[in-house]
Amino acid sequence: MANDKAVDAVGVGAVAVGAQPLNASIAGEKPMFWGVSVNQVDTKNKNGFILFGDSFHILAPWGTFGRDVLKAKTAAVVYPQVPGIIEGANAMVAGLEKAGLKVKRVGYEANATDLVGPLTAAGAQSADMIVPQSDAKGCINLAKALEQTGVKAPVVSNPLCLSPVVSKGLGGDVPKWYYGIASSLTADQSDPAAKAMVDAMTKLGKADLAADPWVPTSMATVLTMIKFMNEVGADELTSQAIADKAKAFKGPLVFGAPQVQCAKYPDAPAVCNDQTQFFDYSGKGQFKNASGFVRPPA
Amino acid sequence: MDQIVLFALLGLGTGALIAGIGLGVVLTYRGSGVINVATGAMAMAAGYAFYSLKTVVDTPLALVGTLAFTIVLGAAVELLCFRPLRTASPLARLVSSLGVLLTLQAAATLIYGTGSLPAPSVLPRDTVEVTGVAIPADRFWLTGIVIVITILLAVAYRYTRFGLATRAGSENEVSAILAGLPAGELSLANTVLSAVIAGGMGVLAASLAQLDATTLPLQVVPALGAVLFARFTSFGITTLVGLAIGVVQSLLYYASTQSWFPTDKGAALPGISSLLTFIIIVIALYVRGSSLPTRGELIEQRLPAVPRPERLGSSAALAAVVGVVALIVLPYDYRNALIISLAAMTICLSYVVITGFIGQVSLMQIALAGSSGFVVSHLFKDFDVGFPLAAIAGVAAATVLGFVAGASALRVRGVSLAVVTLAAAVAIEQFGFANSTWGAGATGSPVPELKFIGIDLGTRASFRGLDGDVPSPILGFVVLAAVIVLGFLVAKTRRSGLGRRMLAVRSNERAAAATGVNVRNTKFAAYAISSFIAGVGGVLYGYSLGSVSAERFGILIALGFVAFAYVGGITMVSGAVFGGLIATSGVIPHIFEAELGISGTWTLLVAGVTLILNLILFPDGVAGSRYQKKQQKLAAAARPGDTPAPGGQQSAMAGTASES
Repeated sequence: MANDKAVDAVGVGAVAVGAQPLNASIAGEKPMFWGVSVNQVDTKNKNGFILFGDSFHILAPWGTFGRDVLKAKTAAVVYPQVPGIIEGANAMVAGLEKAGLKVKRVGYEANATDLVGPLTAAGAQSADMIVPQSDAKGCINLAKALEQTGVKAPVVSNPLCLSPVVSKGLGGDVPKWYYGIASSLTADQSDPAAKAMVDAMTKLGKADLAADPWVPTSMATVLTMIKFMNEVGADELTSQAIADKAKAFKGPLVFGAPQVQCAKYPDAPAVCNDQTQFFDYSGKGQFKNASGFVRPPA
Repeated sequence: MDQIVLFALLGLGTGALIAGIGLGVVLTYRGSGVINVATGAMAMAAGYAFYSLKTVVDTPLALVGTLAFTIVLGAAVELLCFRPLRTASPLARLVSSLGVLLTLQAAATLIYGTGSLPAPSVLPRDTVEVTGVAIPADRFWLTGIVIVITILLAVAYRYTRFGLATRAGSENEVSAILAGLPAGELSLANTVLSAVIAGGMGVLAASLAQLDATTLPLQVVPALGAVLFARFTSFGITTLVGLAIGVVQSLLYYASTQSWFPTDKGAALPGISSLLTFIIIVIALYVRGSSLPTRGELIEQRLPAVPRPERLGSSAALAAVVGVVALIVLPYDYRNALIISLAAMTICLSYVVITGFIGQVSLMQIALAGSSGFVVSHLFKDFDVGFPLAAIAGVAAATVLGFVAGASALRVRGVSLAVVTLAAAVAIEQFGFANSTWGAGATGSPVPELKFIGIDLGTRASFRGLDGDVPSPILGFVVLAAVIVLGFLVAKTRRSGLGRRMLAVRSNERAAAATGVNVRNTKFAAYAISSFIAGVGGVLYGYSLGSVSAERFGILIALGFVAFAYVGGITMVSGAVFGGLIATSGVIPHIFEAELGISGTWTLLVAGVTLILNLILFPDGVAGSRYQKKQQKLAAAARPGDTPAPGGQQSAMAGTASES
């Protein structure tokens, strides 16, 4: 991409481990667009645009949701000690503590087996709110351990646990938890983009993929990039012109918040959003919006 | 105190799983003398088999089917992988089990994908309440089952004819055969029994371990710690230590919530559990290292030949010309793959010294490379120190770390060292590289553009080859120069007195000592040289990729590198060159991916299978086999009319042996 003269902008899915060389290779010469970023390197890119926000900013609203909606006083945060996830857990804990909750957190190694121990150590069996901050692989084992111990407190997960991998790993459905996400879900039919997305995916014969939250955010990223390119016009298309359009963009973001603002945070100039909304999942694809978009606790 | 008891009980499930896999390792070692690092992978394979069967038949039938699968798997591993290598060196047999591990992992990933699967639970699913906390009862069931298996095994091996025969064969295989005991059948029976027990763990542990391609295979690391304490023989000690490791790991979870527990940016320090496993293994080696048994073998095993390198100058010149032309002419993607291959060659060269020359099986060369890369990165990031000071510091750090790790080699030999370096590699990855302060955190840690006195020698240097794209061939020239210098150094070492002393130590430490070779200093020298080379490799990787990350230097990469180095030819510089070409993201995998659309997982599967086949068919590796064929032709040419095969080979081998 860095070498290809025909490429004026770069769209990125979600890269954790390779983020450093990826950003270094493009070296700010072309604007880069992400749906969601799970690392701090992307956020520092002065020619970068993380449309739905990065994990540090969009995981902080867990505190707002726990305090205002769940009325929780204590929270148990459990996470695998893998790159990208630890930093997300730190952001969640910071948000929860800023909202006034008492937090216990326990990390476990990625190849740990029995997770009843970490959950118990984090106080999951008595906390008001349980926060599993995990990648899709870890969600399965955490869900099994929570089920085995009969925990009843509300579980508020990141959207990685909505992956089809988790559904497959748990025998056909994702856990009946709350899910926070910086976008809407295709199951949320109150968002007009959701129906269009499902229809489009059905036409392509890929309807099952629409439930994966990475798919609509990736699609939204591509659509937003196309919007900027269309606004510039084919004859005037340059990296700089696309970047200028992105800098001026205030929303609404398809599948995302009604208003966004890139470069709002000086220490993270690429971040365009810090809002998250929470859904209550009751099984069989039924999601109920439990909060609307909320911001990190003040 | 309540909390201590609670978390001790919570650790029993994990401990039982570790103990069960440890029992499998002991059984295979007793029967065939192989330290089977694929025991956890065999548990995983059984778990997948049970999952697949359960989707079509009821639980009892699925269990019977899985039992049959584990028997077939155990027999296949014994007959296809271990038995053909029965007269090979313990090193070759250990590497063969690495091949089984890579093959099973890659096959599982290709068939079932990278995600976890819903492994069906077999054990009762109710809970037991302890101090107000619900503990799933299946953990206690699993612990009970492992204890019962342990007792049955201990009794069987003490009182039955089969057990006594296995013990006899294990202690002195020659005497056992002379007494009429069928060593081959005993070995087969033990490996099959090992597969059945490990497979049973893979099925029974479904409720506490996720079914994927990494979790169960890597449980072999703590299991090896338990097995080391048990001197590879005692079932009781294996189970006891395995359970203890699980309990201590669980207690660590509780400890991590306490205010005194060390933290990294507010979160409990990661990797403590792996570090603990490593410490347990080191303690076991120090406490019991000198008394670790060496199995009574059938015959003296032949290690791969180490030919004396000839025509070093012309070989180096040829490599330089070919390398420079390739870097200029090739398109950017192949140029990038070639630079990665060149960096990988340095890692393989470090294996040539530590394993090929002196016979020590180190699985931490990649971790040493990573340590060097991380030092370079952090000196830049935290102190703004660039090339060459950062590179020198990185290489020095790797050399010191390898030297310290080599201290273990003074009390253990060959394959036992593989165990400690395996644990060290995992500990360095989890405790060191994954740490956000002194490791890489989420994204990898940046390595700056390679510049020397203001001249850009990195990926963005002005000269861009024929296609004008990055990475610049200049970076490739730097890496190529380093590889040629290191290859030259390794070849010269082989030809030097130190090289001959290394070969003497490799052949027989006692004999070497009797002839005046200082075994300890020779080992230290080998460790220092190989760590130095690995350190250079880490620096080259860092500058080539622009960053270092935990994954880049992880344990699975390390296992892959052992395979690449062995397939290439672990005793020769030319073997390292071939190993580098087939290394992950190197030239040959890039050709497979770019031209044939064959993915990285297929590459690992091919590497695993090739490793096993190579060990059996070409025990000296690709380069070693080429060398032998060449020697045979030369011998045939020298004796017109003779048939070349046996004489030529023996002649070549004799030349090697005489110098060794």
